[in-house]
Amino acid sequence: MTRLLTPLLLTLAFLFSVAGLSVSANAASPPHTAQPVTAEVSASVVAVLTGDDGVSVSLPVAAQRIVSLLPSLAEVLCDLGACDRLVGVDRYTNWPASLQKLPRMGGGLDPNLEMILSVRPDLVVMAPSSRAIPRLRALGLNVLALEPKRYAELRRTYAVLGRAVGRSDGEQLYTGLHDRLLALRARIPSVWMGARLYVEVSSELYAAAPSSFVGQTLTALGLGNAISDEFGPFPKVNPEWVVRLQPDVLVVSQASAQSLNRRPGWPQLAALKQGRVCVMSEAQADRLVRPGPRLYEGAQWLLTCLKALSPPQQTTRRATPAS
Amino acid sequence: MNGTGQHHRPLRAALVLAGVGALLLLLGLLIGSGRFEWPWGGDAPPILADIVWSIRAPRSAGAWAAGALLGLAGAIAQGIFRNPLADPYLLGSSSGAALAVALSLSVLSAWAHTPDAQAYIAPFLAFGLTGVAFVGALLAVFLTVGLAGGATQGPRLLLGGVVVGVVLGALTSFVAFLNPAVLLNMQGFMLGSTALLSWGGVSRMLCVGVVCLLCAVSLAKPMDALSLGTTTARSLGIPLARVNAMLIVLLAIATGAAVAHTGLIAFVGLAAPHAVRAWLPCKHGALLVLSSLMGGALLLSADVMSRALFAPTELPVGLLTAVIGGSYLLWRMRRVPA
Amino acid sequence: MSAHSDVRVRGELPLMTASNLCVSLATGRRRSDQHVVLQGVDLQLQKGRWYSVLGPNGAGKTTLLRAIAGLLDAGDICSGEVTLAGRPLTAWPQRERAQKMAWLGSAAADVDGHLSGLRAWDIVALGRLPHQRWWPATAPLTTEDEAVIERVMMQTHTWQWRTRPIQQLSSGERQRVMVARALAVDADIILMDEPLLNLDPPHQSEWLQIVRNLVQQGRTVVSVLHELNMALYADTLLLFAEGRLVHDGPIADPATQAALCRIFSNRITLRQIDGHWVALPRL
Repeated sequence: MTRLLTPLLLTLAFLFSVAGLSVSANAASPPHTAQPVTAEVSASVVAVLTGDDGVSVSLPVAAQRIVSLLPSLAEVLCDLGACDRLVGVDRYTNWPASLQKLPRMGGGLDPNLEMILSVRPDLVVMAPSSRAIPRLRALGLNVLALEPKRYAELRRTYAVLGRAVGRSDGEQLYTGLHDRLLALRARIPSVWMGARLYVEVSSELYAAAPSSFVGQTLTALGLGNAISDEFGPFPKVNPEWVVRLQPDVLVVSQASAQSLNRRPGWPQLAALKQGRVCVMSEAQADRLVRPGPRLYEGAQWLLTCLKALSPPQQTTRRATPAS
Repeated sequence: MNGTGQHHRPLRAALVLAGVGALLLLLGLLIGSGRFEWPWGGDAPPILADIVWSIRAPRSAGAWAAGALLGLAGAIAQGIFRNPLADPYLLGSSSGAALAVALSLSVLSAWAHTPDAQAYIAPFLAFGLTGVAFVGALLAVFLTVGLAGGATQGPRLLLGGVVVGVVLGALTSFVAFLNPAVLLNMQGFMLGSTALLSWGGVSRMLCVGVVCLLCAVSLAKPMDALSLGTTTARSLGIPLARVNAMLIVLLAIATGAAVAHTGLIAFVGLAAPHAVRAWLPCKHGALLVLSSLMGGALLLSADVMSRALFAPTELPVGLLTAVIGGSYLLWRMRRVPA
Repeated sequence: MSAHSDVRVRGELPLMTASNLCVSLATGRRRSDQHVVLQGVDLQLQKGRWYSVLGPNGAGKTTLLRAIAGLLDAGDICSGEVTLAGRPLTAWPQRERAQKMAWLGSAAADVDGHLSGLRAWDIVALGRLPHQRWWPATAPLTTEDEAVIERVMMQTHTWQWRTRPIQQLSSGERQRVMVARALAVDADIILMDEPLLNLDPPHQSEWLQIVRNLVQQGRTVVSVLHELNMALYADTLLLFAEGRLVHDGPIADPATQAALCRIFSNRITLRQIDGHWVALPRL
């Protein structure tokens, strides 16, 4: 009997995996009918919204009760004038201040399913990397997966979320934002054009490369980036590599500002010795680094900081890369 | 009085543990984002019944099922290694599942934003991260047994399990390092979570659990004989290689199924059989059943507590099992003579 | 080659034979690290006799017992074979072999007490495994099984605390439970390695009586004993030195006595007291 047991067990395990496939498949595929809570199912659909994971959500009417589980999405929704339609946000959303009194639904990666269900949203927006998405869809919710990490993705986010709340001009809103940013470029002193900035997004020495959102902001402003795109948008850099790069300006968070001198080799940095350091508070970091409508404010802050610093020598200037 | 008269004690213990489990299940239905509330009755909001049925019920049942799988796996592991400190993750199943999940997440995030995302992501998701984790766990155990050169090499199995665990763990860290979004997700997986359990997961775990339990109980007598030593067991006609291989397969499947659904939950597999043995000495047949029941009760109580303590926020359930299980083992340590 | 006298009794075919048996065990990691423990062993075991294996430390006594019991890996046997009832031992199905031969290893009482929740009765009941079906695990034992268990526990005087967990027994009590476990197999051949460990003199004589009964019932007992004087009660002594069977025969035979003194480097003298032979250390 034991001779049969091993192959029998393996067969059973295989069968259960297959059973698991079918159950998970049902969970992952979009719901057959997207039922909003206000159950007026009209024949025409207001919007078919496709998220970053390729899965589409159909809304018969514009979304009225939205749960956002990603801070940048909440900011975009508020910029689209749909702030009052948010019924729940994640614990990391902190702008605008009116959202502070909304119930918190947990984090983007570990949402509280009960809270979400209890506010009866007709649309949930969250990052596509969350494992909770199939579960939320299985519970019958409309889940739109969006995570803007670059300008082009932010443009698409504006367009999609605009349609979700019943506006057809989402993309124009973004274009206006982008145009104001480009206009800011004209106000940057010529001596700073092409200067190489080192932007550090975390005290664990994660820097921002040109392909990251803040890196694209720098490019749009005509500023250079000390870090290249070789290792992805947020490479973790060796502190001595920064010393060799000799960036013109250091942009760091408040948390790491105190200990810059203690990093190996950093006392050699010309930027540090000559005080060309811009220190971001948490709020300023949210504006500059987080993709969203406040990119203009973030750029403005950077401009103000640069104007207050003594400019670098001419020899470090590089040609302005095309934006 | 002969031995068969002693059937009553394990039976009573089983009924007690089943009763505790049922009580905890009821508690699990009542505790959630609000405070303790009764979901049935006239003045409860209608959405609450929906919440209870679609979220709290599968979550509580799933926590019990995962705990039962881990308790069973722990009893099997302690039988294979004849060591009361053996836990079900010894053969590397946890690291295999973690690496599989990390790889899948990084592949998924690479495919997002691409034009043909839909073509690739949907079929991938069809298999589900659950299925991927399960396969990863099985492959890791397979690797360990291969490294050890067979199922009967006890010390080599342990060493192989440690090696596989360390190497796969390092690979997982590397994958997570390359992709920071994966890092955050993996932290959640490592701590374990019962939040995303669905009825599908519950039924899968229960099916796997029943099958594994039946197969393990069929090996209860050989496991008893093994406690006399391998040579004596062989002299009694036990086919050591086959029995060990079968036990390892059962261990891999039970652990893999639990880890695939709830992530890495510590201490349940270790503490459940330990607690049963401390409560009443019993043969392996009863030990396997009682460990499952005890493990289910343990994890379910941790799950209920994780929701209840700081409602509406939740503590990670793995944190609570570590606290409960760790405290229990600390208490046991005081009673062991030096 | 070995020198052995003819031990065929009443012209019967031997129950077990070992022919030109060579056993080598691995001592290190490399395959070449092999240590030859037994070589050129020829012996025959008859029904209804008690054989005592004697020899200095390292002579290969435990290995011989394991070889006879079929508990060595196939790779350990460098040449020769062991037969049981005319068939090679390797040809016997495991279950039937387990029914025919019972094994009691040395230090058997070193059971992982903290692991097993087994009581004395449960341990003895494990001896019935070769006769049982494993499934269902909760099937009660047959009345025959229970009768055998009761009988052997009475014989070893362990019946009165059969419900006590094994951890709570003294080492001597545990040893007797283990002996009972071996007896419960009800085998034709009983192989025992150091069965008198931790047993005090009354229980040692008890064991002697048990062996005498077994032999009278027509079973074969092969024992390895350090207690030389107990071993001299056996029907036949198998004398080993450096892995070879040096001599076999009853103690009454002067050749056997000479061989015995020789393998113990002449550090013993043999005296006869009340018809029994006794070995005394030679100072």
